[in-house]
Amino acid sequence: MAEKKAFNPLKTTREIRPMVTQYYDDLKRTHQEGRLVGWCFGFVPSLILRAANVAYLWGDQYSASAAARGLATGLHDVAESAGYSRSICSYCRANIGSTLLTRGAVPAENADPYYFTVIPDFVVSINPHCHTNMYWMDVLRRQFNCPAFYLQTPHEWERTEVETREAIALTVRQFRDFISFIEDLTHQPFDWDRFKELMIEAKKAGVSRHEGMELCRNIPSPATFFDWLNSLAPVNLLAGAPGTAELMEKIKTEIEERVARKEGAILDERYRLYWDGLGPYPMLGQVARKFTELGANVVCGRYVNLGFFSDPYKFDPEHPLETLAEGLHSDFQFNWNFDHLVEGVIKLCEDYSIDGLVFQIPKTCRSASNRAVELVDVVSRKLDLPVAFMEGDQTDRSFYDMGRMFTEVETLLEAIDAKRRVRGGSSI
Amino acid sequence: MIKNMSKFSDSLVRPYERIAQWKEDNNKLVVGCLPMYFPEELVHASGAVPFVMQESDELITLGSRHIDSFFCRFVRSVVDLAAKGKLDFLDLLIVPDTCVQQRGMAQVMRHLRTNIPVELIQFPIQIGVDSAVNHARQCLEKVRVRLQQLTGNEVSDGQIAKSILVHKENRALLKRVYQLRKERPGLLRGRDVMEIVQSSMVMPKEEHSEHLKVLLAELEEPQASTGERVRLCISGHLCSAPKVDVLDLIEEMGAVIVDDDLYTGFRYFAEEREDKGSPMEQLARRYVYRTVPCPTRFDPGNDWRSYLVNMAKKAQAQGIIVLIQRHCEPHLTWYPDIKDALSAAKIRCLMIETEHEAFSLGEEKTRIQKLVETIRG
Repeated sequence: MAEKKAFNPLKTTREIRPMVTQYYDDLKRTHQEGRLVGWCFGFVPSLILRAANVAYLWGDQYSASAAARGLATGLHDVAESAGYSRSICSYCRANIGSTLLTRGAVPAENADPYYFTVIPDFVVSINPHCHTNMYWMDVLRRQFNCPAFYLQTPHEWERTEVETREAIALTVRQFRDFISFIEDLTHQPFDWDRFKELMIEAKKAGVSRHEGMELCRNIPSPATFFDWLNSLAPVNLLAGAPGTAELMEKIKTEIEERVARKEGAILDERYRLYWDGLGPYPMLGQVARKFTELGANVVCGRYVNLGFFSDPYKFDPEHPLETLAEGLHSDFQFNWNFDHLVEGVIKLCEDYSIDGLVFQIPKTCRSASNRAVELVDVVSRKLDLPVAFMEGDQTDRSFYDMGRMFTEVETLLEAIDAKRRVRGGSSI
Repeated sequence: MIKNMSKFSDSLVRPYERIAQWKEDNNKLVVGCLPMYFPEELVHASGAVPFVMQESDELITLGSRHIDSFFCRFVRSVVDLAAKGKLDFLDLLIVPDTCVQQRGMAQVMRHLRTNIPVELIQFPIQIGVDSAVNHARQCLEKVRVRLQQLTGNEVSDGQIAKSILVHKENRALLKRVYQLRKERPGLLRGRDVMEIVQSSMVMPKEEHSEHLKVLLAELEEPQASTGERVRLCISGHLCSAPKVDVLDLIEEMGAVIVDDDLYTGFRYFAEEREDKGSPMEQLARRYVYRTVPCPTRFDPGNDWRSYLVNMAKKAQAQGIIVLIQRHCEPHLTWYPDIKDALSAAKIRCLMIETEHEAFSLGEEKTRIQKLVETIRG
């Protein structure tokens, strides 16, 4: 009988990394192939750019990927040496570091090949929730002296039908302007038929992902929050790309099989936790393993469960721009107003039978952290759940203290045990 | 020593308590306006008094329970004041969506103090283009409706036009102060100039204009020369005022401040546009078309680097001190390019990052002294 492993991440997600690696390798040949390249910040309009046969580098994903490979620190050092403060969003700083190296603006001895990428023909910022993406885009615009497009999606404030309708209409108008911008650069009419086809593929991938995530309500959960972090590329960076719908279906199938076998993503699931914050990319593997050792399955988090078009069933290929606009405004938790966010997180915790909350504040992501301190207080009181509250960051390793972090987590687990004893259940 | 400064400086001592008392004494509504650039004329036209929110001197304590430490000093200070109940006198708080930190603050404050109505006004982030004017105008129309609901008064175009004139007069008087400073550097201390502008944010405009007229009468009189000093401009410090200690230090080290683009300086009153179109159109156009570039907006046709180089050259400044609030991302992302541009133009540059909490001035004294001595050669 095969030995059961305590740490049991999904196997099918391993197919994603080679796809992303290939994607970045292909990117370097784009100009030779006579195609344009755009750098995107915030939301990546992958379906639009694929339809226009334009390649793209998504700054957020590039930086996250650098961090997951242990390469972000080098990029941060380059940016900071050039005067970019450590206080700036670390996604932005990592990408600026790459920019300076790619442009040859700084010496590059012994720099990892990952640091060098393709020079953009244009930059675009689509901002559902964060002004910093605009500053980031503007830095790159100045660095590369290239055309820039900015799209402002309204933030949810009142959450009324009128507000939503106006927000979608405004965003759709700007998407049309963006398409005109692309047409002007490519000198080609936009391929609307291709756009619809891509949206059909993206919908399939999104639905499979959604159904897979829903299965994590099962006890034990067949996948972790960290598995879902590793599974983002098919629905954002690579959305619409060949093979992504099939891969997400495979991932869902693996999850279904685990549910049938009552096989959890960790062998001995004793605690089910919610994660608030971005992915701890610099320490992803270590963090995931450490939770496993403690018998704690981080089963959900607003970053993956309530983001990236959390309602793929709404995808309407006949109205693709409206789909994107509504997704950015209404189906992306960073853009929700505070009450909506509280409701969403509470429902997530209830649906996934959560025992405790882990709030990791990403220090340089003000979009993720700007309500987190208030959120943790409200949610923990309403759910009467204990909390581990700690600092971290999406790509800057210097904000991590694993010892301290897991002291907080252990305290959380002890608090869960104590509550269970009080309620008459077993403490494990 | 200028005699008529006390009205300006006194108004900045516990400004929140002062305006709350003023509200009670005058039975008026007070509308808090978060920085930057919200057209206060609209509030004025409604019969309420606009009050531009200020960073407090108080230590941040309760606010830390509601907002993270890696946020700028201004946002943390305002949340702290709200948590302590010191903003409860506000009848409305307008947040012009300046940055992601302010946006978060708006959400937190609406939850934290349900007794203070908060309105997030999502002005266009891309400016300098005609399409942004309509967007800005739609935002202002929403504010008009809100103010009418709040005050029970109609906010007509006629009233807005009158308020525009009141504010234009104030700006014209401030410009005269700046003109005199440029002609006679050292006429006013750096802290005086800043307090003159900043006080306009915290008292009724008509009252401030009267104080300015008295001051200008004094300033127009011949003043003693301050001798040869190194000429410096100061730049930045968005949304809130730098501590006056830093300005005093610049002058103690033998420099004189000849111009600035601080928010509590020239940036606050810089914009003037032609009186074309309806009053709302005028306000919208003033928001969209700027003289002083702002890093919180996307305005590629209005480059901050060239603006600062030109500012220094016109003021015959030998250097620029850039003041940046810690954790102010829009400013921090611009600074390296500003530094490079000033260097290329052979204009000396020093950056000072400021904190809410008092910090030792020893290090800053050394750095400023070095800048001044380097310039003197």
